[in-house]
Amino acid sequence: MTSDPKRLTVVGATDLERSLLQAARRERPSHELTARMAAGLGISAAAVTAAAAVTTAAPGAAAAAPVAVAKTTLAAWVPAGVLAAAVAAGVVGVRLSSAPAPVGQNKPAAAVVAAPAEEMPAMAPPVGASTERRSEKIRRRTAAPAVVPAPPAPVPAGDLRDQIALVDAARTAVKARSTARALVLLRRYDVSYPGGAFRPEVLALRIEALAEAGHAAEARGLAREFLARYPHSPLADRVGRVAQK
Amino acid sequence: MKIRDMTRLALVKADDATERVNAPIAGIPKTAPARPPADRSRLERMFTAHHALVWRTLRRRGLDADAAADATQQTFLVAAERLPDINHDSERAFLVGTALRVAFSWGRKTVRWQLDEDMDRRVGAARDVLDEQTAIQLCDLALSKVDPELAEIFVLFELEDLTSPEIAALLEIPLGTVASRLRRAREQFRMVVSRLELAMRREGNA
Repeated sequence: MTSDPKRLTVVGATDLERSLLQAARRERPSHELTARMAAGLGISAAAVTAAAAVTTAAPGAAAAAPVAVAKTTLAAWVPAGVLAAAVAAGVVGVRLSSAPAPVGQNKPAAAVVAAPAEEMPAMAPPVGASTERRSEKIRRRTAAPAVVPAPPAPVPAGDLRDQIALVDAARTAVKARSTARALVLLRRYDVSYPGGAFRPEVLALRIEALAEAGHAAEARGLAREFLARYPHSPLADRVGRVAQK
Repeated sequence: MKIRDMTRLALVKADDATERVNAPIAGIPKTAPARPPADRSRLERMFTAHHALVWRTLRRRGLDADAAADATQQTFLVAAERLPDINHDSERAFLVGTALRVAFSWGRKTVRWQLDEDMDRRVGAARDVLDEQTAIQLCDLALSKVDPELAEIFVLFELEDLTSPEIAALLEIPLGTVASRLRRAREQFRMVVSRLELAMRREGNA
């Protein structure tokens, strides 16, 4: 077995290359994002605090390089406005995929990513295939006490802008047929804004997302609920079409 | 529909929210199900140790910070259900592999490689902060120009310090393929960065 080559950040990189790579290595989720993820997993506040404390430590040996490396280097290389102009001009839009594919490795990246899911039973199952089963398991557990994180504090009445942003993001995801993302966003709305102003819209979007994801029966059930609860909603016609499918 | 009307409709069914929050969503578990204390402790430890790595891996796949957080949460939910199957020595590999599949399942339409529209303004407004963010964005931009199957290995090796054998096992490809893809990824990444560098110099001197 041959030994690994040294990382570019250790040897061989130009100053700019090293700056870009080290900045990417240092990137970490904000404390807010970390707390949100932990809450969604039912992880204790103490663990979140511990995770946040780790945030202050640079990941990896090379990341120990000071931030000033990136700042100094980029300050020398990047005058304001140059980056966007360079990109807009297509300077870095060079197409590099003309290089020959390795022998026997012609499958696209998507296949490379997906392949282990099909071939590695010891590893995680493919997400799409497992979701139905997981959902069923969780339904069966509804009688058991779940580890439910405490919901965030009630949202101030004037916090409509954040709600709108969340609903807009979910709507965009539904339009893009990114149903998993849409459902996560809608769930986040439910948890964050239990008395939110956009409950009907959120329910309508969930119905559309479920229908798009192939969960027709559940979508129809929710659509009937929607029509019973919000019979005069402007969304009723749209939801009604789902209910009739 | 006016916001006032929406609010009224929402308030009419005050108990609707609680009911919905506690209801499962098909395909998306709301949170980790109840599990023994030992499992919860292990999940917490895994999260503390690896959540940033998972999040970064997803970011390098082109997800924005919020989407990467959602995908990270989904990754750990999968892990929570598979804890008994995960060897303690391969937790990191499991999480990275799962994260890659989650990112794939979310589809390419969630991927955002473009630079921020207001980048110019932010350059002038907050250089210290921006420089770090600029470097990250440029790194992502350069990675977006590398063939995806090569960039994946480049990210795991150069940014997340996985070893070649770990990557080979994770992606189920021969060790030699990892080496060749890494070499080609480096060539492509460096070519993009060098062109970017030239452009910066040219613009800077103009």
